[in-house]
Amino acid sequence: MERRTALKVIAGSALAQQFGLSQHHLVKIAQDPSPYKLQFFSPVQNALVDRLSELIIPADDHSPGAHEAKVSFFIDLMVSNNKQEVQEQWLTGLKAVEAEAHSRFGKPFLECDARQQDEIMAKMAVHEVVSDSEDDSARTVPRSELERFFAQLKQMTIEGYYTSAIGIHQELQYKGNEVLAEFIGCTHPEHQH
Amino acid sequence: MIDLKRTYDAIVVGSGAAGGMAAKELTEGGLEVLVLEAGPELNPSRDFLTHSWPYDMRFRGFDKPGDLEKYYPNQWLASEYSRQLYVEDAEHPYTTPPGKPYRWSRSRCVGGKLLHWGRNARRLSDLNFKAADRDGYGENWPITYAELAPYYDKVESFVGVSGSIENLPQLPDGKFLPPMPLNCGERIAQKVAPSLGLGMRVIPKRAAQRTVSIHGLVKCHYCGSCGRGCDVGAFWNSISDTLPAARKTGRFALQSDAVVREITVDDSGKAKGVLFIDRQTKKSYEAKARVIVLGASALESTRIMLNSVSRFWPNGIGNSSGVLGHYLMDQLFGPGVSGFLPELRDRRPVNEDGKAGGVYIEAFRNIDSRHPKFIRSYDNEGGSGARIFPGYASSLVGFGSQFKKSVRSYYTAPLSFYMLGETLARWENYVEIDKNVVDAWGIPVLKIHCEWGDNEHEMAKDALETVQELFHRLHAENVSVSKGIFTPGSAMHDMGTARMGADPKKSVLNKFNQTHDVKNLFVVDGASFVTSGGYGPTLTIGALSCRAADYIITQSKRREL
Repeated sequence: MERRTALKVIAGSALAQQFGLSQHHLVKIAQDPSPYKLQFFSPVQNALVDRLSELIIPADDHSPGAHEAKVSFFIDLMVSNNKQEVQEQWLTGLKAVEAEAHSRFGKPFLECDARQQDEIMAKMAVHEVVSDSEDDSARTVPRSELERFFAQLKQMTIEGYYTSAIGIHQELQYKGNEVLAEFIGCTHPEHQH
Repeated sequence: MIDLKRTYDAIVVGSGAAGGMAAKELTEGGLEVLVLEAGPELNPSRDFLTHSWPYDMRFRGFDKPGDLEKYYPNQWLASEYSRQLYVEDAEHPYTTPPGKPYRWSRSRCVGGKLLHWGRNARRLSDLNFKAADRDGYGENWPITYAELAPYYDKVESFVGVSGSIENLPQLPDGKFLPPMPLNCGERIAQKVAPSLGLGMRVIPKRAAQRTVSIHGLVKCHYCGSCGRGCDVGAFWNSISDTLPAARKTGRFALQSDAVVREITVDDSGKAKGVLFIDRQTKKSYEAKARVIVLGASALESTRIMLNSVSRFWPNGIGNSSGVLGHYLMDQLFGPGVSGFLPELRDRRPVNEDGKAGGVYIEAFRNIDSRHPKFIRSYDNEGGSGARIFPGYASSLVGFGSQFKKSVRSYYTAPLSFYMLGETLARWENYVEIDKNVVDAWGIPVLKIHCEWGDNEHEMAKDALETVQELFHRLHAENVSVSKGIFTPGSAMHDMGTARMGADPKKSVLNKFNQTHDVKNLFVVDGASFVTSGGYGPTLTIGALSCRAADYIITQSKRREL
C-alpha cells in the first residue's frame, strides 16, 4: 500500500486512537496552509527575504527549495516575535543587500538576474568560517554588514526549511516520528561486531 | 480535597520515581497511603505533544523568541513541545552565591520528572557503594550491592528495562527485556572501540522502555519523542505503572496541587503529619500520618526538612548531626564529541531515532587500575544516525545547491557522545534555607552552593581525550568538540544533602532511608545518596524506595515506628 494512503488508514483507525496519532501532518502535506499574513516585513521586503532564502537552499532535482517551503513566512513570524534589536538587524541587513545591488548593478536586487544575485550572495559568504570550537576568539569577526547578515539569514533559512514538510519529508526523507511494531536497527553485515 | 480528618498509615510526598514506587510498595504491603504532589495532574492527550511535527507547532518547535529564557531560564530541556511539563522559574525561585551558579530543573506534576526523563536505568555496584574503601575518599554507603540487588530485580521486573547481559563488574546486569538493536554508526563504534586498548566497550543503552509488553504495561512504539511525555506509557513514568498499581489496592489516595511546606511534629518530636498549601487557592491544610516518606526529589525533600523547625529540631527535622543539606552532588556533564562517519554518508534514510536512545561507552577508568590524575569514573552516552533536524547544517560552509547537497550527504552519518561523570561528595557543596526569599506560596527557598573541583576537571579532560581518539580511529569527519563543563545541576541528577550512613554524626539517614533522629520519617529519593556514581540515579532511587517501603511495612506491623 502506498505510504501516504497507509498512514491515512492508520490515522483513522482504532490504532490511531490508542496511539493518539495527530492527523495534522497528513492535512499539511496534502494541501496548502491557510494564507499567511505578513506581520513584520513589507511585501517587498518579504519578496527579498524569499529570494535570498531560495538562493541559500534552492529547488533542485531532489526537492523544492526555500521559496516553495515558504521559509520567508517563517522568518517573518520569528522576526515579528523577536526583540527590537533583532528586528533592526534584519532591516539593516536587507538595506545592505539592496545597497550592494544598486552599487554593483545599478538596480534593485530583485531586478538583478540569477548570475548577478549569486555574485552578491557570494560576496556575503566569502569570509564565512564556521568554527568547530566553542572558543569565540576562533570565530571570524564579520568584516561587513553583508557578512553579518549572511550568517543570520542562513541560520533562519536552515531553521525554516528543515522544519517544513518539504524539508523533512521530501528533501531529507526523515523516517522517524512513526509508530513501529519493531525497531530494526542496522542489518548490514559489514557493520556487525 | 482528600479526607484530612483521618490519620493515614503513611504520607508520601512526591509522585515520581521515589514517591510513586513507595506508594505502590506501601499500599501493596497493606498500608493506607496518601500521596501529596505539589503540582497538577496532567492530561496526556492535551499535555503530551508526543507525535507533533515541527510544522504543527506555532514556532516550528523553537518556541516564541525569548519565551523559554523568560519563563524557564533554568529548565534547559523545556521546549515548545514540552515546557508545560516543567516549572516556571519565577514561581519557584532559589538563590546561589555569586560565581557559583546552579541550574536546577524541576517538574512539579503527578509523575514529576519521570514523565520526560532520559530513561537510563543502570544499577550501581559495590565499586560505588564501597568506593571509599577503594580510594580512601569520603564515606561508604551503609549498604552493599547484595542487599540492594533483590530490589533492583523487583523494580526492573515491574517497570521493564531493556538491556543486554555484559558481565561487567562496574555495571551489574539486570532482569532485562530484549535490548534495542544498534544503528549502523553505533555498531561501527562498537567494533572499533576495543582497538584503542583502553578497555573501552560500547554496549546498548539500558532503557526503562519496554521492548515487550509485560503485565498490562505496553511496549514502546519507537516514535522517538519520549522527552515530550509518552502518550501510551511505554516507559516507567509513574502515571502508567506505579500509581495505577497503588490505586488498584484500594488503599491509595492522591492529592495533587498540594505544596508541602513542612513536617509537623507531636509533643515528643516525632513526625505527625505535614502542612501543605493548595497550589491554586494558597490555603493551608494539615494531613496526618503515622509515617512520613519524603520522595519530593533530593533538594525539595531536604528543603522540607530544613523548613521543619521546632523546639525539638531547631536546625530542621532530622538534623541533629548538622549534616542535612551537605554533600550535594550532581553529575559531571557537558563535554562531548560529535562527527560524521564517512562510510555512512549518502545513504537512503531509515528510522534511526525511533528508539530515542543509543549506546554507552561504559566506564573504563579506575576499574582495574588507578588513574594518576583523578579518582572514580565516568562513562559516555551517545548514538548515531539521522535525526529530525540537521543541527549540523549551520556548521557546513556555503550556500545554494552545493550546500543543500552537503546537508543531505551528511544526514545519515552523525555519531556523537557526551560524558557523564561522578562528582565527589564535598561538605562545601550544600543547600541551606535562604530566609530572605520565598516562593509563590510563601515557603522559604533554598540557597544552593555548588562548585566542581580538580577531580572533575581532570576527569573531563580525560573523557574528551579518549573519545576524540575514538573518533580519530573511526576516521570521523567534521569532528566537533564541546569542552565546556555545564553549570552544576544541568545533568538533572541532584543527589545527596540527606545522605545515608552508619554513623549518625556523619549522616542523616540509616541504611533503610530512615532518619537517625526520627524513626517515623524516611527519605527515599536521591537525597539519600552517599556517592553520585557516573550515571543516572533513577533505578537506584526506585530500588532504595522499594527497600525502604519493605522495612516500613515490617516495622509498622511490629509497631516499631
